[in-house]
Amino acid sequence: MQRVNEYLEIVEEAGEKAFRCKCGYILGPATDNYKTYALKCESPLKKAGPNVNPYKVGGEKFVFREFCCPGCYTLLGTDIALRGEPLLRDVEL
Amino acid sequence: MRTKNKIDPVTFEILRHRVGAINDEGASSLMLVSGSPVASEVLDFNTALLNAKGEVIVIGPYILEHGISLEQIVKYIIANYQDNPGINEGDMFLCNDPYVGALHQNDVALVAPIYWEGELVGWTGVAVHQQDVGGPGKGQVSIGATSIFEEAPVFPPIKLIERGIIRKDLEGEYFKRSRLPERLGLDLRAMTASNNVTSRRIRELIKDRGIETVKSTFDAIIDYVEVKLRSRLMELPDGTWRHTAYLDYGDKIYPCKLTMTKKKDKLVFDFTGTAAQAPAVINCTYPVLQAIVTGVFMMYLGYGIFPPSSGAAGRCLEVVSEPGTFVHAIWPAGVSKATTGARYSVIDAGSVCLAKMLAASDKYRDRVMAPWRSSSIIADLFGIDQRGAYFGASILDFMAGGAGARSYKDGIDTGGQLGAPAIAIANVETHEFRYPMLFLYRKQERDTGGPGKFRGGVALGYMWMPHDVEEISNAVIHAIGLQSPNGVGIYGGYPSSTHVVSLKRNTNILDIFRDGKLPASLDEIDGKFEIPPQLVETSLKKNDIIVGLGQGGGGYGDPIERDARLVANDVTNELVSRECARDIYGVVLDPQTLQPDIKQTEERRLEIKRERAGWQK
Repeated sequence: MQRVNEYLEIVEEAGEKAFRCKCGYILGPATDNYKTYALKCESPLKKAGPNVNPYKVGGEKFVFREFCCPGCYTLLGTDIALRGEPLLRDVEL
Repeated sequence: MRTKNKIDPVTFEILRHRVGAINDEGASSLMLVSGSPVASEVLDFNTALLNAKGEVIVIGPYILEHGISLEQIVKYIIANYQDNPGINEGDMFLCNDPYVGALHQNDVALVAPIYWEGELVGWTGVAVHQQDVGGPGKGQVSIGATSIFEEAPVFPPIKLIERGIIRKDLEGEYFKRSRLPERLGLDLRAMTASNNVTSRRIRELIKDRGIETVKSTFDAIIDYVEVKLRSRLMELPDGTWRHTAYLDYGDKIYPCKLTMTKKKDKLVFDFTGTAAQAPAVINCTYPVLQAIVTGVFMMYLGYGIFPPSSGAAGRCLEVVSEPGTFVHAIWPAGVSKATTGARYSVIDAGSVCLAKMLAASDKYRDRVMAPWRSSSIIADLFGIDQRGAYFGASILDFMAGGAGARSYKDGIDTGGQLGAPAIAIANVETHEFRYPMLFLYRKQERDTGGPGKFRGGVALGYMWMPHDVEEISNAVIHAIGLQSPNGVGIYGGYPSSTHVVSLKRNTNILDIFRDGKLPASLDEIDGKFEIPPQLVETSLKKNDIIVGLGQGGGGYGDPIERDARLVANDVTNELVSRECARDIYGVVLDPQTLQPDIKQTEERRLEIKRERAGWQK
């Protein structure tokens, strides 16, 4: 078992390495981006808080992305990204 | 401690601390001699002691990159100046050339060789931010510049002090273009004093311990710190981490893409794919990129290792970048706002990747820290002050931002900035005494720290106005981080606030004062509301009011895992609003007691989980 962070670890599952949530839910192969297998929500940046660009300076180029475990619905990660940017694979172990 | 250098362990323990103390004394000398608020109050400077090859043995605890970058400047002088103009005892070289190593043109370095009986034994140096070194733009930014030729003047290393004597011709050349030559003069004397004190103390040390012992100590310190850092790296898992930080400038967004790979005891920071350079203003050069990466690495992995040696840290790192990008600008790209532009993008990207590397280790999980406040709101003010004299000021209050949340506790509220452990902001009374301005408030601002299981530190907000004058004729306001937060959250943590800057013109503030009231927000004041352009030179009349809201630190962990009692405390202390408590943290408070309603909180948090269950696969 290899710790990835607070919520995720990499385990052997059917002979393959896989991302597993602390709740026991297997998200997907560790050779891939775990975010692909998480539940996803993309929102305007204002969802992140009332003081996040409140006057919409520069328009709304950014989005707020949230990723949660399909097993326990714990929020595993958040990203700020330009609208339309592909998901960032943030870890390879 | 065993190193390849022949020095006994007891002597090494004594001398590594003495060398650190000598460098600190150099910094103290600077603060005591300089009258400039940037050097003596904000502490936007640093000192370093280097060995004869130009490797940094120790830096001070102020802005790390100021000390780290001296290595590039000294190595340039060693490589290029041996024969002409020569390097001799008593010489000092001044440099603000970002293509050599200065962070940007306003960060002026003064470095000096240290000799003992004709032998070069090391170097000492100091770099200090200067409010104005000249150029078309007042302060540090030339709005609309299309190259470095339209920015502040650049001085490659020049031998300003020759065998202990200041060259009047070169000093005049340095002062002539500045709008604030007296400030330059104060800090030049202070930097000279700093170098003189450090050189004298090192010569005393040599007299006391012998030159071979001191030279061996210099090398042993760098080796010792390198071994410590590499040992830490060996204990961390190998892997690759990525993050993209964003810089908003003009009509464009500049992504800073970092892929950080750790293998055994080495880290490679690869910025391939980062956005092309801008014509001017926001970029940084490659020597500066190296210094920034070294600084953020030291903040995450150099804790508890004394003395802090960036020369050692640099040995553990490789920095890969593409020439022509905004983190690796090529001549003649302008870089006048590098320290509050590209630098922060690099710190943000490096912070996230380093934090995530630590998170993958059972041993180092408690060292995980979300990014801190980054980017900036700066007001460079010029005009006639309340005493009828010309003045210049840099209002750097944005630096009191929030710290990133840790994996076991909240980030420090108004904690400052990563990479500058000892900096401060000037006292309000200092601002008001020196400059024609009046502060209506400085306060910790609600809903600026990134929500999370552990909350990011909240940021500073402030409101001020011109005072005792009809106007401040030139206010150059330049801000970054208005569109997206730099203090992003990690592991489900939410991001901090963005910077927000706003104005109200021609207000009724004097009527409000006459009524004996002190407004706590812009909403309580009548006037013409304005969101200024990101970079603007304007004037401020006596009834105009400017408000700044800083960035907090990023949050750590899922916000609905935060202890409801901590959320209630935050609401009571006006650090989190009741709306954010309910919407983001899922905590419902009793409206009378402001204590958590346990049953409604459980229901609200289940409701948030049900919402998440409906997200797309």
